[in-house]
Amino acid sequence: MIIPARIKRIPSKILSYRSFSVSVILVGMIIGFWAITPEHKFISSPVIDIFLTVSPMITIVTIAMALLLISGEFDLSVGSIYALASAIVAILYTNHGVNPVIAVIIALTLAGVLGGFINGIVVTKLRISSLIATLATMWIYRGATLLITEEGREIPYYPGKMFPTFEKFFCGKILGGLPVQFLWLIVIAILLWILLEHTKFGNWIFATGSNKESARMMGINTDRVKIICFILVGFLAAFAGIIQTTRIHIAAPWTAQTMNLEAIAGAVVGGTLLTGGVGSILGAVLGAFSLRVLSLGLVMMGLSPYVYMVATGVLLILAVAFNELVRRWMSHR
Amino acid sequence: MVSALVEMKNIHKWFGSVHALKGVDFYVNPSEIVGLVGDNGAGKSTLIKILTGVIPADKGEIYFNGKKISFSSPREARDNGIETIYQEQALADDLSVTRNMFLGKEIQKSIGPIKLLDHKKMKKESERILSELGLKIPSMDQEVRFCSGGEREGIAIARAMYFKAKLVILDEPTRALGVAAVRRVLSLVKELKSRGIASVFISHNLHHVYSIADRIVVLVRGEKVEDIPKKETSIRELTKLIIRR
Ligand SMILES: Nc1ncnc2c1ncn2[C@@H]1O[C@H](COP(=O)(O)OP(=O)(O)OP(=O)(O)O)[C@@H](O)[C@H]1O
Ligand SMILES: [Mg+2]
Repeated sequence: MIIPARIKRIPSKILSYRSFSVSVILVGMIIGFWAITPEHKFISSPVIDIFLTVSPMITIVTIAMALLLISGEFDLSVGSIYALASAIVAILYTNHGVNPVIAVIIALTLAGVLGGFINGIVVTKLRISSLIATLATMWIYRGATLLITEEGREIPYYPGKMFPTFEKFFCGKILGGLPVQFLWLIVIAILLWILLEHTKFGNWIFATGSNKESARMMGINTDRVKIICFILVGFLAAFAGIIQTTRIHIAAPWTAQTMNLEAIAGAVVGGTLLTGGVGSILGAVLGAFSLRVLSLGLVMMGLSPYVYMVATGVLLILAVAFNELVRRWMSHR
Repeated sequence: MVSALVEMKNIHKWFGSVHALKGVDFYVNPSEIVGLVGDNGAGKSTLIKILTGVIPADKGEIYFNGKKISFSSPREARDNGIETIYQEQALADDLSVTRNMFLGKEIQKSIGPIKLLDHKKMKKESERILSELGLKIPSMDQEVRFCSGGEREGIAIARAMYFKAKLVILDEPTRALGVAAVRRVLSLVKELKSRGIASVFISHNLHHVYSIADRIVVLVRGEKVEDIPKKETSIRELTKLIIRR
């Protein structure tokens, strides 16, 4: 039988769509949890509300991490930057009475931009692999957080009392109950998607991660590309940390210790390759969501958090194997 | 005598104690195909890397269009119309044909103050130039990893043509290619010439070099031992020179 070429190409079009595997995984898990939770409570407004409230912070960090992974590097210090930024805003506002807007700007600059810039410089100029470089800064930034918070004491942070609009800007509710942080996630995801898919710089990120030498031959400053990606990751990790602190009214110096690995796992579940050159923003969003859905679903079923750890590991392996299968099938076509 | 497009004079290069280039003079005239041959480690790639700003020379001068230059990066060389094609390094595997074609020289459209990639135009232009050169690649959106060696070489050459290079350097473009693909690449290099683009063609296969070069330069252990119009030499003579100890 002769199948017209255009029709023949349809399945491969769908499969080549980067977020195919993770979409299947996410939808499958949602249906699965809906089916097995008592009274199908998994899809009910309180659960959806929890999801919309808690998932944006880790998802923002995950998409930033995906961008950096595509450029061929990763960042283990995101959790430390997240904690450092929240400690800085809390100290400035609560202990020193600094205006919260200024406190936020200082935290984003010091913990986010400077932290990311240092990571980028160490990796590109000192030529230290990002595993070692960001492992080191992970300790440095965490240590700094513990030092400035006096032995890791939690610091209250409640600017919403005096500046209600300020708090709403980060984590209020709009449009009849949608958490503002989820809106932030959407805005950031769209901006990063435009950057990655529709600008010159995005093309350079892909090329840098795929084949650094050829990118260089084509005149791309690959070091600069990587440094900018590190800064973006730092900035967004700091921003996510500030949202969280504003939301829970406290800066916890020991928070987000496994955020680095969760963000990398989310990006990888979403089809990003650790070797660089491959990945997508939508995939990373869905990957991060998958991990959140998994954790929520298990909690709903009354299982312990340790089950979540095991399940996350299993999901990671299955997702990567699934991705790989789809890719291999594509290339043997 | 026509003034040379590129002229390298008395080029020296040391790698530690290895004297990789020992005072090499090398020139390319406009729209000339120069074959550059020599055994492994003779210094061919090193000479080309110096010309294109990948590494600096330790001694010597380079003139481009009669002006003394020294490119400090591949970007500068590219901006001046020198495109280099290395077999492994020419393209980024994970990127589509179109994205590779326009890598580093993307076409943009303005939306207010924001500049975005003009995917449609880039795709159309890639399609046009590739079909003009007789390359049939199924889809411009296809990742380059799924292209054959010959197609990849074709894409890289098409790119050089599209951006109006004055000089194209091909370092072993026919390595690992089948008979038909080799023929295609050789005819593309001739096409370059007919468009007034000069090229330097490096290969270990003397038959390939001999079939298209106007002039052939032989390097032996960092020294130029021959520089001769093709008509005045033969494959046998060249072979003798290359393996001379
Ligand atoms: N970056 C480097 N560091 C040290 N030595 C080098 C370097 N690049 C080249 N060399 C040495 O310089 C000499 C010339 O190398 P080059 O790569 O130019 O040879 P080639 O003619 O291109 O050989 P081939 O045909 O095998 O590609 C060799 O002895 C090589 O080992
Ligand atoms: Mg070589």
